[in-house]
Formats: sequence, C-alpha cells, structure tokens
Amino acid sequence: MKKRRVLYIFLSMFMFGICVAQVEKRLDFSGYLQSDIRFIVEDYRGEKTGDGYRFELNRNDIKGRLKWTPHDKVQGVVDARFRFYGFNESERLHDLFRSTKIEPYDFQINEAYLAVRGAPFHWMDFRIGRIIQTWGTADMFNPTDNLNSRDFSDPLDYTAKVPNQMVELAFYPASFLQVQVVWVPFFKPSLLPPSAQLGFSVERTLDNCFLRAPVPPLDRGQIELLQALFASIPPCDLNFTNAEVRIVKPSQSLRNSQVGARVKFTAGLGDFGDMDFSLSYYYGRFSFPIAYTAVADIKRAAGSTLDVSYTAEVMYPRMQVAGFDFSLSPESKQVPGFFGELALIFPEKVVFGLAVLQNGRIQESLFMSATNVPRTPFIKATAGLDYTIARRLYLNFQYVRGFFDEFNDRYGIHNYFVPALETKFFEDELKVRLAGAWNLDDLSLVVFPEVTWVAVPSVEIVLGSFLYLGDTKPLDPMSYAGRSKFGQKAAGRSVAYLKAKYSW
Amino acid sequence: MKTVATVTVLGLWVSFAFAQQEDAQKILEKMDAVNYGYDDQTMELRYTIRDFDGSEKQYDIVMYQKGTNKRLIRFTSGEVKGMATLVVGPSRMFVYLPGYNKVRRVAPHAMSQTFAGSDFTMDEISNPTYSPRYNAKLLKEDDNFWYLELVPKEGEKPLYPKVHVAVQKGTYWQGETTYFDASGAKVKVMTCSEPKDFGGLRRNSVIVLRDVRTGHSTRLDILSFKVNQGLKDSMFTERELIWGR
Amino acid sequence: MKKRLWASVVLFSGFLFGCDWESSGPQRLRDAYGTSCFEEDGKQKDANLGEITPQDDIAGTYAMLVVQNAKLETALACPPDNRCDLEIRDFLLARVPAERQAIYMEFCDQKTTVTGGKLNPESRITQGLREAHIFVVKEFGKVADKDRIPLLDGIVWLWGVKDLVDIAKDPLPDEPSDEHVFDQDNDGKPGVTVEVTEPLEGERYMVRRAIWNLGEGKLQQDGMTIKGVLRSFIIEEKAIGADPPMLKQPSSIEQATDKQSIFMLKRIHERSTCDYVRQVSEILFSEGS
Repeated sequence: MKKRRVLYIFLSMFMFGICVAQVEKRLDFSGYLQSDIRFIVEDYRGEKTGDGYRFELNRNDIKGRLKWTPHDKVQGVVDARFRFYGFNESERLHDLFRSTKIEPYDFQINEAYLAVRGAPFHWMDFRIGRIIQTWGTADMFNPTDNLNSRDFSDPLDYTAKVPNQMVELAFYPASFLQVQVVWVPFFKPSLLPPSAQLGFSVERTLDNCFLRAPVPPLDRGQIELLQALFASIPPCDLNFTNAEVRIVKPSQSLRNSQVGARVKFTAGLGDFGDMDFSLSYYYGRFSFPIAYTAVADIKRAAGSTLDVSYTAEVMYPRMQVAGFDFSLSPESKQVPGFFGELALIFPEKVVFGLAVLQNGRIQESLFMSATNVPRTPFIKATAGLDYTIARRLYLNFQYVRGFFDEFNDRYGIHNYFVPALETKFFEDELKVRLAGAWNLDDLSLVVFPEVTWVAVPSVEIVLGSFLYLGDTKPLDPMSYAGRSKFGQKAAGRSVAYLKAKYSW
Repeated sequence: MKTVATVTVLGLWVSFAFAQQEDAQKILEKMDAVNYGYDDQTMELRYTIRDFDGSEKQYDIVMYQKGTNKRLIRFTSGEVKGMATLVVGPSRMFVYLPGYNKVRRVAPHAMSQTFAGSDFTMDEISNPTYSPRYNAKLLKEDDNFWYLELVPKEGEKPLYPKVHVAVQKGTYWQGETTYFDASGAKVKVMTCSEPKDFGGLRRNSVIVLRDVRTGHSTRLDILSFKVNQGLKDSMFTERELIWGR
Repeated sequence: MKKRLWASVVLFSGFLFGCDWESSGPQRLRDAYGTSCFEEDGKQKDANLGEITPQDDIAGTYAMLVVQNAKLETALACPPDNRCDLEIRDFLLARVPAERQAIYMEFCDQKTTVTGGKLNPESRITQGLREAHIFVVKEFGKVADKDRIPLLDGIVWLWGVKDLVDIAKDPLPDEPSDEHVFDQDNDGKPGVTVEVTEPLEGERYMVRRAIWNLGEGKLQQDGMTIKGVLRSFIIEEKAIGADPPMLKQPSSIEQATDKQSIFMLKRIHERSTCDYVRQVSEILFSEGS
C-alpha cells in the first residue's frame, strides 16, 4: 500500500513536470511499451527432467525517459520502467486478497541524474546521480567496462546493466582527447539469471535419490575423497539438500567504493584511417559471485538416513583493471573495421574452504582448502572486425577471451568465438539477425536467431529464439572446471519468444 | 598557312572547351554554395519512405549543419528516436545508439548502407556536396537549366561513378539529379520541388529520391529552415553526441 | 609534462602490483566455528591430516568396525520367549605393523541397538570408557600375506576386570568389592558404567568379557578396505551394581544364528587417534549398517 502511494505521488509529479516543461519545449519524453512472451522449447534443462515445453515469461514493460533541459548547460534525466510479470504468483488463499500476487509487478529507476556542461570550466562536464556507464569499443563483451554491474536477470537482454549512483567528471581539453573520471560510492553485484541457482543444486535420480552434489573448487584428490565419503552411503539413504547460498557483502565503507578513469584519444593514421583508442583504470570489485566457503552438516536421521545440509558462501573479490581499447576504421571501403579491447586484471586472492560438521562440530581431518582465485594477474580481451557486404549483409566477428562471469577461478578463463550476421530487407522494414557464442574450449554454444519486422514506424514485432547447445552433464565430475559453459543447466533454458514494441 | 590555321582552330577549340569546363565546374560550385553555402543551417525534416505498393513510413529528424563538412542529425520520432549521427568529414562519421548507450564510429565500409531505411546512403548524408568530388561537364542547356555530367575527380571514389544534374539558371537551385552505376545503368533519380519561403529564404522544400530499380522512394519535406544561427564548432563533436543522449 | 606523465605511470604501476589482497575461506570458517587448529594458509595442523593412498599391503593404520549380531535375553524387556535382536558395533583403532605379524587394537567406541522385544532397552557407554585406552594385541603367529589378515581366534576384551589368570576362562566377578574389579572409566563407580535410557533412566556398573574369533580379513581391490566375517563371539557381562537397583537385572547375550556378524577395517592416517576414529566412524562405516 505504501509502495503504491509513493508510486502515485511520483507519477503525479512526473506528469505535472511533463506538462509544465512541455509548454516551454524544454522537455523530451520518450519511451516504449513492450510485450514479451517466451516459451521453453525443451524439457531437459530444467531442475527436473521433463520440466519444459511451457511458457516461461509473459511480461509487459512500460519504460519512460524524461529529459529536461532548462538551460543549454543543464540537463535532468529520469529513466524508469514498470514491469508487469503476467504470471499468477498466488499460492495460498491469503494471496488471493492481494493484487500484487495475482498481478505481480516491479518498478525500477534505470537512470536519474543531473548533468552540467561546461562548468566550472568550459572543457568540463559532470553528471551526478543514478547512471549507467558504457565503456569499451567492442560489442557487448567489454572487459574494461566495470563501473556498472551486469543485469542478467533476463538472459536475452544482454546489454542491460544494474544502475548505480555515481559521480562522473568528463574533461575535453583538446579535440582529440577526452578524459573521464567516475566515482561509485557503493558496490552493487550483478543480477543473475534465475537458472543460476541450478549451479548449486543437488542432482537426483528419477526416484528422488541422491545422484550428484555440486562440485566445490578444490583439488581433484580432495574432491575424490569427498565423493568417496558420500559414495559409501546408499544414495537413497543420503538426504543431501540443495545448497543454501549466502552472500558475503562488502561493507559500505569508503575503501569499498569504486573508481574508474579513462583517457580517450583519436589519432589519424593517414591512408590507414583514424584510430580511436583509450586507456582506462578501474578499482573496485568483480561483480559476479565467487565460491568462498562451504559447510556440509551431517546428521543421522531416522533409520539409516543421513541428512546432509549444505551451506555455501560466495563473495565479490576486489580487483584493479588496467584497460586498453581501440577501434580502427580504414579509409578503404573494401577493408573491414577493427576493434579490440584488453583488460589486465589484478585480482584479490581467494582461498576456498570446506568444512564437514558432524553434530555441530568440525571434523578436522575433513577440513579442506584450496586457492580458488590466485593472485596472478590475468587478461580478458575481445578482438573483432565488422564488415558490410554488398550494402546489405553486415558481418561482425569477435574473439572473446573471458566471459562476463569468468575471473580466473578454478573454472578458468575460456575462449569464445562470437559471430553475428545481419541483413535487412524492404528498406529496413525486415531485419534478420543470426548471432551466437561458441565456447572454443568445451565446444558448447548458444545460437540466437531473430527476425524483426517494423510493421509501421515505431512498432517492432520480434520473433526469435535463444538456444543452448551442449552437454548438461558435467564433462568431468571430479573437477570444478568440468562443466560445459552453455550446456550446464545453470546457463539457462532454450526459449522461443515473441515481442511487440511501440516506441515514442 | 594551313598549319597555322589548324593550330589556331585547335587552340581556340581547346580554350573554348576549357572555358566550358570551367563554367560547368563553376556552375556546380555555385549550386553547392546555394545548397550549403551558409555559415550554418538548422532544418527540421520529415522523411517519408514510400514502398512500391504505396505504403509509407515517416520519421522526423533535426539536422544541424556547419559549412559543408559538419552535420549533426538527431532522430526525433519512430523506433529510432534518440539515435543521432555526427559527420565531421568525408569518412568520419559517428552514431549514438540509445539501445547500447554508446557512441560508435561508422566504418567506411558501412557508408554504403542505407540511412535509416531511406533511399539515401550514409555516404550521401555525410557527403552532400558534389564539387569537391566530381568534375563537371556541360552536356547541354536550355532556357531554364544547365545539364551537367559529373564524373569523379582523380583519387575520389564516390558511390556513383556518374551523375547527371540539372541546375536552374538564375537561382542555381539543384534540379533533377540522376545517379548511374559503374555499368552506366540508371540507379536513382532525385527531384527537388515546391519552392517555399522560410523566413525570407527561398528554397525547394521537397526532395524526392526514387530508386529506379525497385520503385521505392524517399521524400524529404523541409519543415523549417534557418541559417547563420551562430552554431558553434563544439556542437559537432562526440561530446555533443554524448550530451544529447 | 612528459616527465610528470611518466612518473605518474610508474607510480601507478607500482600501486597496481603493490596490492596483496586476500580473502581466506578457511579463516572465515575458523572464525565461525571456533576451531584453532589451522596453519595460516588454511592447512590443518592436526597430524591426522595427510595423504591416504591405497596400498596393496595390509600394513597400516585403520578404523575398525566389528559388528556383532546377537540375541539378548533379560527378565523384563527381552524374556526368553521373546528375545531381542541386539546389534553391537565396536569401533577400534587398529594397526598392522610393516612386519605383518600382529594387529594392535584400541577400543574407541561402542554403539548398541536393541530391537524386536517387548521393550527395547537403550543404553550407551560413557566418555570415560571411550577414553580408557583399552588395548588388545593379537599376534598372527606368522608373517601374514600382504593381502589378508589371517584367521584369528581368541581376541579377548575385558571391561572393568583386571588380573585374571586366564582372561578367557576365569569367571567374571559378581560383587563390586571383588579384587578383580576396577574402576576402568575413572568415574568413581566400580567396573565400567553404562548409562541406561530405556526402559528406565539410570546407570549399570558392569564387568564384561568379549571373545572374538575373526575369519580371514581380505584386503579389497580399492587398497583401502579390509573385510571379513566374525566367525563367532562370546559376550559375558554382569551388572555388579546399578542405580536404580532394578536395573541390576541379569542379561545374557548369545550370538545370532540368523544374521552374520562381520568386521571391517578402513585405512586412515598413520598417526590417527581414537578421537579421529570416533569422528569419522559414522561416515566411514555407514555401508556397514
């Protein structure tokens, strides 16, 4: 109720602001209405085999972006989104009295900031507020872009980020030079897809007996000992519960704030075209969770059953990133454009610990530890080229070293090939796109075909699918790294989707 | 004697031809000057894409131009609203993509792509003038028009190897322009019409570009036109693109 | 300007390399569960921790389980016409030296389960008995084969009794004042104390003798396990006192004929103690249940 009242007040102020500023033509209001329906097109990637061929999503979004420019040197921007989930969440009679259970929704402010240009110096701009930054020249895979965490709550919306409060200063001392400094007071982690919890779940046989527990980031010998320990118990007598995963949050201290700085240059290379390149630095934390501790608490239950409750902790290690990115556009139209991005990451060392408790006491001889993230610096990079053939077919190929969630832990840094082909017909009315990502180490892939039809200006109908191809079973059950990147169930479900969008 | 006469005639012919060349080039330059010869221009445009079956799509844009090399175009309607394109040289073009929250340089190989679904290409949007890239030859003339044939200058590789353009006498307004491909086949035809007064400035307010091969056409309606507003160079920078997101 | 720029780069690079951040999961667990038995790098100081690798030789240190399936007769709970099923699980620390000529065994723990009677008595031994360091050594009489413990007869365990001439045959004392009775679990009560929880709560003060005749114990293919049959056993026990007195009921235990009794050894670290055996026995021997 209180939440709704706040929303109503906000909306009223919003609309009043629109009316006033509209009169003075200092307001720009844009946004979109979008409907998104998704259907799972397989039944083997869910928590239980056989769960599939059903609707996964029935979502409607209303997004509005209000930009107010009271003065040519000042801008206020608010970008917000209502999301209606379309699925009934009621489970008890009591829920039927609450519309938020029948019609769940949420409200998010993506951006809300004040921007000032040319003040206090004419070569300086600044922004303060809730902002989404985008650094790097590559498409989507930007290892130097760390100021905002990623929002993978919707795996199909791969460009989404978690907005955060920040202060940004931008300097333009010369036409070929841009300098940007950003301070982010508080760390926010990345949002994970709902399927991520399957990475911590216990696999069971069809008759609900224990099959396989999540593999911890330990040495092979240690994992074999654990496996042998639990393998000595009849599977149906082993009540191994799904892991309860807790997060170790960084405190809200100054040293846990994040800082980024970037210097961007443009250099003319004569006949070879212009090159934009930048050097960047980031101090902060890796925004995806890294395994930190695990505790297996063993208790004898009734009869011969052994209860094992599993609690895991994840944390967000600190890191410093030295980044370099470039894009080169050769003068010749026959030559593709090149871009590249490289991040040298200096990580915090993370040592993983596992304890087995029995009746509340640590079994010392079963206490295990292993380095999960070594202190050694490592590289994540993207290199690619794009080209247009016959004015119609756009090609974009990228080599990616290190996916978003890879941090040189025991899973390692993997290599990927990311192609995208796009062509348009009927004067851009119909766009056909085929994209994918292929893990070159385990050969799993995702394929992403999509057709967009611009029915009338401002209205797009999109039909597509997102398909995971790879082995759902671990490639090596005795290794933390022995899982298929896109094959494992935690990666997500294969879906077909239909979207309709009206923009204004 | 005969030799002298021949040389004289030849010499006169060469100088006459040279004079013609110079005149044609001057006509072309004046046409460009009439189109783009202001310190700066600000235009609100509506472009309508018309398919061969008669169906139409409309988009609104605002275009700022300084000289002949600098252009800033902002899309103000449609699903591309928020997108902006910055041109600062013949092959220096940037685009701001709202969906990605990013400014990207447009590579030269992408210049031949159509501009937002219209019949104009990125190349035509970034290189609106003719005289820097083409040599003009007078084909013929009548009471109202000079008819010029344009071929690329040495070292230049514009999209169309041959262009025929009609230039109105007196006003130097651009008339019907025909574009040819390398084989000499007609590709597109552009016409300018409906002269209008924009606050004391008179110009054609409708430009139609028709693709001869498909029957598809794009119509540009100039809704407003202002010149010499004192637009600063700083307006035509990446900084401005970022500011306007 | 250039000098300043380079100086900044050098300083900055130093800063990059100068950070030695570390988050230690083991330390966090240590803080949460209060144990202090760890080295700084998270490795355990306890000598029990070390590599256990499969061997093709019976020499080594083991956690040993002896499962005795028997019938229990008591006046009240398990009368003659309705005897109870009794399962006794004895957990021992066992060592076979490299010469393979004997087996050294130390009693670590015992768990009993009674079922099938009118009332199923429940009892448990005390910590004092567990820590009483009761040892038995059984000589093989020869150098055993690498892959098996030989057949062993007459392994005798005594609780609360000392100085018998013939430990296997001399009768057990009846009274707490008997000279052969001693307070083995150091709790001030004669003999060894067994805590009873069903059908009544109380204590029994016991003297006891168990004699095992083990069959051959074969080293399994995994190199970690030895299994064999407990061919026969005899258990005699007497309550020489009780609190409340009604718990001083006589009982008789006879080997079950309908259920096999077995023994199993699981290889553990060579410097393990009974404490470790008690910790891991539940898990190590779950299949033996």
